[in-house]
Amino acid sequence: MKLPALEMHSVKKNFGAIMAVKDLTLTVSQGTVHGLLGPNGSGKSTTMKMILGLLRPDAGNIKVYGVDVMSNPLHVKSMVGYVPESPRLYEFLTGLEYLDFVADVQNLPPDIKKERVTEFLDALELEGRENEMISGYSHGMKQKIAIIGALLHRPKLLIMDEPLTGLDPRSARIVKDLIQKLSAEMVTTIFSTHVLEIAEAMCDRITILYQGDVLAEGTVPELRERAGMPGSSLEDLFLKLTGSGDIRPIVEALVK
Amino acid sequence: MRSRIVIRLASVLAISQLRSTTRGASLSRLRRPLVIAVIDLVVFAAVFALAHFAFDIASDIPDLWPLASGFAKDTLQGLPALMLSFTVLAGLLFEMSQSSQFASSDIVNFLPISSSEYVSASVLSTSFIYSVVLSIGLAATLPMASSLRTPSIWLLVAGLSVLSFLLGSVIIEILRAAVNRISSAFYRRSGRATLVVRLLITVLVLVSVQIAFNPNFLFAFMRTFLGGLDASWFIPMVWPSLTIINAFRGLEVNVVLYGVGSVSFLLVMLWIGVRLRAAYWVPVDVSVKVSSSVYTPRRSALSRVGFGTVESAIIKKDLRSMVRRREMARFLAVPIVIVIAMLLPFVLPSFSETSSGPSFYELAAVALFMGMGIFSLLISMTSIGQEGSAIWNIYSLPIDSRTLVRAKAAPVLLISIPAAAAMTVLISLFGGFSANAFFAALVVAICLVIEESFVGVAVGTAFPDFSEVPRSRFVTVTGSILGMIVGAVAGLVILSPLGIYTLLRQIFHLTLFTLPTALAATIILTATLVYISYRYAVSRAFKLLREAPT
Repeated sequence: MKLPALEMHSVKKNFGAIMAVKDLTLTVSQGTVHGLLGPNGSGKSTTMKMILGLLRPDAGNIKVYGVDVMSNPLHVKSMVGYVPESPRLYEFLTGLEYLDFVADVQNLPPDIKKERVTEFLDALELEGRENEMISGYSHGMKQKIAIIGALLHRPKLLIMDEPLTGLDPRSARIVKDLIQKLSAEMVTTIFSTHVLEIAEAMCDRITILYQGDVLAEGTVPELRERAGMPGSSLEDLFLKLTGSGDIRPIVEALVK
Repeated sequence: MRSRIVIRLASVLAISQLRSTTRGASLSRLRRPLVIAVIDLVVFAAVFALAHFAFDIASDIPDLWPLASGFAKDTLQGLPALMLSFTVLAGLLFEMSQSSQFASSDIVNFLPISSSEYVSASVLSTSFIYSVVLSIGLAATLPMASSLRTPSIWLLVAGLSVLSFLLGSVIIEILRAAVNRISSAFYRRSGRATLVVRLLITVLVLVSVQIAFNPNFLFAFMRTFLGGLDASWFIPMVWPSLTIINAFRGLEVNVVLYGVGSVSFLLVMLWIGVRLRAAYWVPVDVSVKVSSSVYTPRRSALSRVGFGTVESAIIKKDLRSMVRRREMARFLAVPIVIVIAMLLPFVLPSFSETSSGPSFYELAAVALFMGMGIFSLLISMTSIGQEGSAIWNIYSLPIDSRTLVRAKAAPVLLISIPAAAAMTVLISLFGGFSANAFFAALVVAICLVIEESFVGVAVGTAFPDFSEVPRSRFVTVTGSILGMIVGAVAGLVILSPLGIYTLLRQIFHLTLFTLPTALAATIILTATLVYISYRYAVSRAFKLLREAPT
C-alpha cells in the first residue's frame, strides 16, 4: 500500500483567542488533486502553511510522505512546492534571477535548471520579460513566476493557495492542465480556491472547512449525496453546508 | 488645506509607525500616540530636574560658573541647529525606507487627500514620533536659561527648536520625493550600469543634504570662510541660531528679522515639499531590463571561496538587494555622511593653521574605522528584516539556520573587508604612516568590520522587523538601540589593546607589551566576539525559522 502524501491528525492552531484550526484530521492520497474550500477565515491558508511547516500546530501531527513536518522541516520543504495566496517575491531581482535563486536553494544542477526555467518561462509566456526586474511585473506575471518557482524542483506535493487568482484565461488553463498532468505523474496537489466551478472540474476530492473545522469531505458526488442535494451544483452545496444558503435578503439590503 | 484631515492623517501615520511590529490580537494598548505624549512629559520632567540640579551646583561654584554659563549660552544658541540635524539624520535612517511597490499602493494615493495635506500630515507625524528628543533638548535648556536669567530667550529657543524640528521633517519629505524622481528617471532603461548609477545618484543626494544640514560642518565652514555666524546672514539654516544670538545681545530688530526669516524659510521649504510631492505623487515601480544575454547558469564564483550553493544563492540575492533597492541607499549614505562630516571641518584652512593635535590622516583613520564599523553594523543588523513580506521565500525553501546566518553575514564582509583594507592602504600611503602603524591600522580595521558584521547579524536575527508599513525599519526600535550600544561596546573592546598600547607608550612612556602582542590580543578578542555572536545568531535563526511570522 502506498504511503499517503499527507496525513494530518488532530491538528489545532490558535492565534491568541482565535481558533483558526480545530482538531483537523485529513489524509490525502498520492497523485490526487485535493481541493480545500471554505469561506474567508475558515482556516484554509493556515492549514496549508502548517503542512509546509511555515506555522507550527499547537497540537496534533502532520506527515508529508511519511516525514514529520515538525521534526524534519527541511526534508519536507525540499519535497513540497508552495504558491502562497499573494506571493511577495524579491522585487529587486529579475524573474530569471529569482528562479535561479530558487533553483540554487533547491540544489538543481545547472543543466536541469536551464532546461526547466526556459521551458516554464516559455509555457507561461514570460519569455522576453525574464530579464526585467519583478517590480515592473503585473500581478499575473508575479503569480506565474511564483508558480514556476514552486514547480522547478519537481515537487512530490504541490500546495497552492488560490493559484489562479490574477492569471489570464490562457495561463489559468495551462496551470489547470499542468496540475492534471502532474497528477498523472503521481504528484499530489492541494489547492484552495473560491471559484467552485474550478474545484468541481479539477479536484478528485474536496474538503470543506468552516470556522476551522471540517464540514464535509469526499468526492463531489459523495458530498451531494451526503447533503441530500443530488444534481445540485457545488456552489449550492457549499452555500447550504456553510449555512449561507439564502443570500437574497443580503443583496437586497445592500442595494437599497 | 483641511486641518481636520491633516490631524487625522498625521495620527494614522504615527499609529502606523507605532504598530509596525505588532499584528492583530497581539496589539498592545501602549502603542498609541497618547503614550508618546506621556513619555515626552515624563522625560521633560526628569531631564529638567537633572539639569536644574546640575546648574544649581554649578552656579554655587565660582570657578565653574564661567565655564557652565558659556556652555549654557552655546547650547541655547545651538539647540535649533542640533534639532534640525537630528531630524534629518533620523529621517534619513528610518523614514526613507518606503519601497516603491508599497508607496504606489498606499491608500492615500486613492483618497481625496491633497499633496499639501499629505506633506503637512507626514511632517507632523515624523516630528511627533521623534518628539522625545525635542523634549530632552527643551528640558535641559530651561534651567540653563533660568540660571542665565533669560527665561524669555528660552521661549524663543523653544519656538525656534520646534520650527527646526519641523524643518528637518520637511527636508525628509523633499528627499523622499527627490528619491522617487531619481527612481522613475530610470524607468524602462536597460543594463546593470543603470542600477549602479541610480544608487550612486541617490546616495549623492542623501549625502549632500545631510552634509548641508550638519552643524559640525556648517559652523566650521562659516568660521573659516565667513569669519563666524554673524557673517552668515545669507544662510537660512542658521537663522534660528542668529535670532537667539541677537536676542542675547538685545538687538530686537535683528531678532524680528531673523525670526520672521526662519518662519518664512520653513514655509518656503514646505511649499517646495508640497510641489515635489504633487509632481512625484505616486512613485513608479521601476522596471529595469537588467540584461539581454541568454540564460546560461554556471557555478557561482562564491562556491570557489568556500560557500555552498544555498549560501551563494542568498549572498547573490542580498548583494543585488544592496545595489538595486532604494530603501538600502540610506545605509550606504549614513557611513559616508559620518566620515565626511567628521573630516570636512579638518580639511578647512582654519584647522591646518591652528591645529597642533593629530594629523588629518590620523583623524581620517579614526573616521574610517567609525564609518566602516557603522556600515557593517547597519547592513548586517537589517539583513534579516529587509526580507520583508518576501520572507516566506526563505521559510518555504529548505534553508537551515547556520546557512542563513553565514549567508547574511557574508555580503557585508565581502564588501567591508576589501573596502576597509583599501582605505587603510590609501590613508597610510597619503599620510606617510610607518610600516607598524599601517599594519596596526589594517588589522584593527579588518577585525572591526568582521566583529561588527557578526554582532549586527546577531541583533538582526533577534530583533527583525519584517513589516512593510509606510516607514519600515527592518530592525525593531529595541533592536536598533541595543544594536548600536552592543556594536559600540564591542568596537571599543576590539580597539582597546591598541588603545592601551598607544596610551602607555605615548603618555606614560611605558612599554609593558609590544605592538604584535596588542594586535594578537585584538585578533583573539575579535574571534571570541565573532564566535559568541555567531552562536547566538544561529540559535535565534533556528527559533526564527521554526515558525513564519503571522
